[in-house]
Amino acid sequence: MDDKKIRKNLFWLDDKHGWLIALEADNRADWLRLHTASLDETITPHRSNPLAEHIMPIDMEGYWFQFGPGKNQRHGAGAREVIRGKAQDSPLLAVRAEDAPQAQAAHVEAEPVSLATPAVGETLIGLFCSGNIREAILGDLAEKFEERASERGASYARAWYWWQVARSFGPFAWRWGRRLVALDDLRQLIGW
Amino acid sequence: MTRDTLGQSEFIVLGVLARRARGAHGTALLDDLQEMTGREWSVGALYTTLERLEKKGFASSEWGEPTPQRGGRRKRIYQVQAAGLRALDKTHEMTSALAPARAGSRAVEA
Repeated sequence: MDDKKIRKNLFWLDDKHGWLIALEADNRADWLRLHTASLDETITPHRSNPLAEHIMPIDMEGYWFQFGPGKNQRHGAGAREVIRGKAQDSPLLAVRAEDAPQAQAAHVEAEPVSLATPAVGETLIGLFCSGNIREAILGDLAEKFEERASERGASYARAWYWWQVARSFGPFAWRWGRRLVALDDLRQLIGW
Repeated sequence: MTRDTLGQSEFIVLGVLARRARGAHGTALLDDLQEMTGREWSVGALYTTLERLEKKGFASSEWGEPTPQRGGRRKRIYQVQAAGLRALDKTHEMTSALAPARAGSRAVEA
C-alpha cells in the first residue's frame, strides 16, 4: 500500500458544537476511503477532555467530518453553516477555527497518520515466502489491511496485520522444515 | 495417505475453491474459509495449503490484475482442477465410509 498521509486539523468549537475535524486528501475518493481509518487516531490523543468521552460522528459534509459533543445534543446549525460555507469554495486548510464564529480555542494541529502496512511485517513475510507467491500474499494482506482500517481503524488494522504475520510463521517454518528434511534424504541417497 | 486423497486442511481449502466456478484469489478464499469454519485463517496456512494442492495437480493458478488496494500487487487466481474434484470425491467417500464405524464404536461404548 502507498504511504498515504492524511493532513488534518482538529478544531475545538465550543461545548455545544464540539470538535470539528478537517481531513484533507488529494481527492474526494481518497478522502472517503481514508477518513474512517484516521478517526480513532485523531480522537485518542484528546481523550483527556471530559467532553471527548461523548464524541461521536454525526455528520459528513463534503470534505469535512464533524464530531458532536453527545448523542442527546443536536448538532448546532451555526457550525453546520460554517462547514457548508467553507467546504464549498475554500481549500480545506484555509479554514481556521478563529474564522468560525463559535470557535473559542485555537485549533490543534494533529500529527499526520500513516496508513501504510507495517514495513517490518512485510519484510518478515517476504523472507519466508517463496518468490512466486510473495506478491500475492503481500497483496492479499494489503487488501485486508485496508478493509480492516476502514471498518475498525488503523490501530486495529495494524494489530491484525501483526497477528497474521505471527500466525503465518508456523506454516512457513513447517514448509521450510519439510524441504530441509527432503534435502537431507537426498543427500543420504547420493552419499554426499 | 495416498496422493489422491486429501489432508484435512487440503480438503477444506479445495472444497471452498471448488465452490468458486471462476476461481478465486486469496482474500476471497480467506473470507469463504472464515464463513465455513467459523475461524479466521492465516495467509500462511492458506498459501502453504494452496501450494501443496498445486504441486499435487489438484489446483492451478495464474496471475490476475494489480489493484491500488493491493499496493499495486497482482492477484494470484486459483482454480480447482479435474484431479482435485476427483480427490475431493474420494476423500469424501473415505470419510463417509468411516461414519458407520464411528457409530459402531458409540454402540459399544453404550
